Amino acid sequence: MSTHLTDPINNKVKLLSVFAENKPGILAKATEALAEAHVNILWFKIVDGAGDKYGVIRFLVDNNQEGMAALKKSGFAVSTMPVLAVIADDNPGSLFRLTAALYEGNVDVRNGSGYYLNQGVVLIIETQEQEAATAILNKLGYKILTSAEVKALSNKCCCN
Amino acid sequence: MIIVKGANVYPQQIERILMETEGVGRNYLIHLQGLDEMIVKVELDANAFDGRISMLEGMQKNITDRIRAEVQVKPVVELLAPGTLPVSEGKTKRVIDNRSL
Repeated sequence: MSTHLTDPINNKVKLLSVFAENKPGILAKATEALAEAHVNILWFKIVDGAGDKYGVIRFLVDNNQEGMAALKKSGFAVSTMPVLAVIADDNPGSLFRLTAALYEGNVDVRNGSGYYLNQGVVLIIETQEQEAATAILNKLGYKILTSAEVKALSNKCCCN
Repeated sequence: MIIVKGANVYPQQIERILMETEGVGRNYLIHLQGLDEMIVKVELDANAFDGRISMLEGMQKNITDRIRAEVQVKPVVELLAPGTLPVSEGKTKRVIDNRSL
């Protein structure tokens, strides 16, 4: 019962997921809200909805709570989405090895992306089967980042 | 009452469906345009959004299907961000008719 400080649930990496009408200035408005709250964006992606009328903007930021509050204050509908942030090698076959392992373990990857960081790659993986995916990747020796680690790595990167 | 594509449509019918739909806000607007096109604009409830596109698409399809079944006219349902639609004092204008019939 004394493990609350290292609660694995609270330490999971989550993306901010923002509903966005497809009209000029929305991305600028959302990023302005984050900028004014001094929230650092580590990665972002726009997901198109059907019919080109709206989409969802996903942000990986260094401070979810403040980012969420800032976006809500600007009138956005925001939610958080748990993802796995996995460190992978930056070489041919790296993504294949990882996805093949997930496939063999019957893990369905809903969404995936990544960004380059300190000669490695951080893969952002969205799946319904987080626990199964975590077990598979841990077994293969992949490093799955906590939210604190994502933040720490980003700070290190910014100072270079 | 409005007449769209030869069918009688009461805005209250559409309002009832929207109010019964989880995840939409209280504000809506029926926009008639073009030859005889009915666009139903509805705001997303800020607290109901779960972050997934599939939720939005499901909500849009559900509203479209229910309105079509109710009034016999297939609408174009547009989801808007919370607080987008104008809030007017007193009696809110729910129907805007810009048809070029």
